[in-house]
Amino acid sequence: MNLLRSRFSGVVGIIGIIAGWYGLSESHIFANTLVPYPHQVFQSLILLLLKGTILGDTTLTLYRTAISFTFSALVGIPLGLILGYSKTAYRMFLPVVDFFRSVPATALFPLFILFFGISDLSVFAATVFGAIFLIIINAMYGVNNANKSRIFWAKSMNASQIQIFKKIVFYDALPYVFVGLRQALSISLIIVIVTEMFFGSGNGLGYRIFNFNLLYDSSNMYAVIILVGLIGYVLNQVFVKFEKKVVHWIGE
Amino acid sequence: MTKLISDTFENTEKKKFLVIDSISKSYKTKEHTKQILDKLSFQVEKGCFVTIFGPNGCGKTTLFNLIAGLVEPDTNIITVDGKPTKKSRISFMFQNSSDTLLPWRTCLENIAFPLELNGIRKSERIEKVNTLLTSLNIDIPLYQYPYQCSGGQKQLVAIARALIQNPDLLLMDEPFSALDYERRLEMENKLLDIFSKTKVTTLLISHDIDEAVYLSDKIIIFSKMPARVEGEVVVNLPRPRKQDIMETTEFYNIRTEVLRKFYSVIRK
Repeated sequence: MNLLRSRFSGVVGIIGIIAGWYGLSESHIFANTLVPYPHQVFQSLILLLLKGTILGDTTLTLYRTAISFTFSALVGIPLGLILGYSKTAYRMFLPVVDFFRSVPATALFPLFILFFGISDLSVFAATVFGAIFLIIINAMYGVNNANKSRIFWAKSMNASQIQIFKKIVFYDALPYVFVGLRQALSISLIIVIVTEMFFGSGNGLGYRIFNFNLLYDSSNMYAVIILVGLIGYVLNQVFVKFEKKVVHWIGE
Repeated sequence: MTKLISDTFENTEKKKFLVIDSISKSYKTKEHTKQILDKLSFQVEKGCFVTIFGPNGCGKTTLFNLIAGLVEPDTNIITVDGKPTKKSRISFMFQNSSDTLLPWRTCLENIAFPLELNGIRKSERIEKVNTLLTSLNIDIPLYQYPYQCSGGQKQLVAIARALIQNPDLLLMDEPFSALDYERRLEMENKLLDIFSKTKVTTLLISHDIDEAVYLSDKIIIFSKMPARVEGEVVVNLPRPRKQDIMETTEFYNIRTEVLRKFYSVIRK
């Protein structure tokens, strides 16, 4: 009972999933090539890591995600804040932002390939396109939702518009900015993996999954999928820790 | 005779600290114009604690917004010590003023915020905050964040922040309405103490008649909207005041006088 309430209670779910998976493999409803045993997959994962073949791909995928995410953040945050603060900019650009964020990044893959060819630049463009609007929209929303009475109070203290923006609105928007960043980080990893599958980049974790799939090497394919899942999970956890540190006043 | 004239002259001079002279304010909606204030006039002496008492929605908060320069009056300008309010230091404590504290700043940084807006150096800011808190005998955890503080402590932070720039005029719009009775009494006593030390000219909006009598030198009773001055009650209870003053006949008589005037307003 204590285990269920402790911080390790999450382990119960993982054990459940693995047990179910084992049962499914044992039932032989699907061929072993489709649903290999868990221990086979973990063995493959350990071998991949030990041989080091996967490390280069992992680094490349992380590198592409990091570059795209950083660029989206550096451009998206200021844009979103400005759009939120300036009524004129908001009216002028909201339809554009709303339109482009409604276009799935995947729909533009052919276009990016046409422009940038089979290159990291295409991956980069597609990922930024998928991530940046999440950041812009959330930052904008954060500014719009800044606490009115704090702004009003600052005005009563004769604070200038710039002071109000820098010292109040920015901080009030920050929790929303972080929501956007967290969503953007997840989507960046997703789009990088997808583009690696279909842009024929010849490396990266997405390419490995696709390739193992073509080779009917499902054990290795699942191993890479699990690795991608773990990476996504760790990225998110690290980000949440960082977020809690920066916007410490939220939820208190 | 000469003495008498000079006396009256001095009195009027003394009176003219906060001058509200025939101030009107209306808001236009699509259908009609809503007159919030109609040629409102009254004056407050320097170093006086004045409470404005009136029916709900009579335009008291609008008046405070006008004094604080957040809204422009339709006619005339409001002056403090002969200067337009824009050129005076006015501190405004809103209703639920602890919500206007900045949660990402420590109590110290919150109190020092008005100084920071005026470009005062950090070391000087810390020194000023410490001096103020020592002189007012206020004890708050300076390096904690507001969300780590109790409701009373947050109120004290808000009050200290309002006083840090040594204001000409302090406006308080029902500052304690969110507190329970016990905290409220505590804050009222603290406010009496602070007022006796700083002598800052204070204008308070209150819906609590005991609070109004206990704290003020004068109570101004407003009519229903558009607000006019319906009457004034001078509270000549001696200072420093302690809780037990509320049990005296004098207190009771003043309270009754305010109540009567207030009743005549709401019956109109």
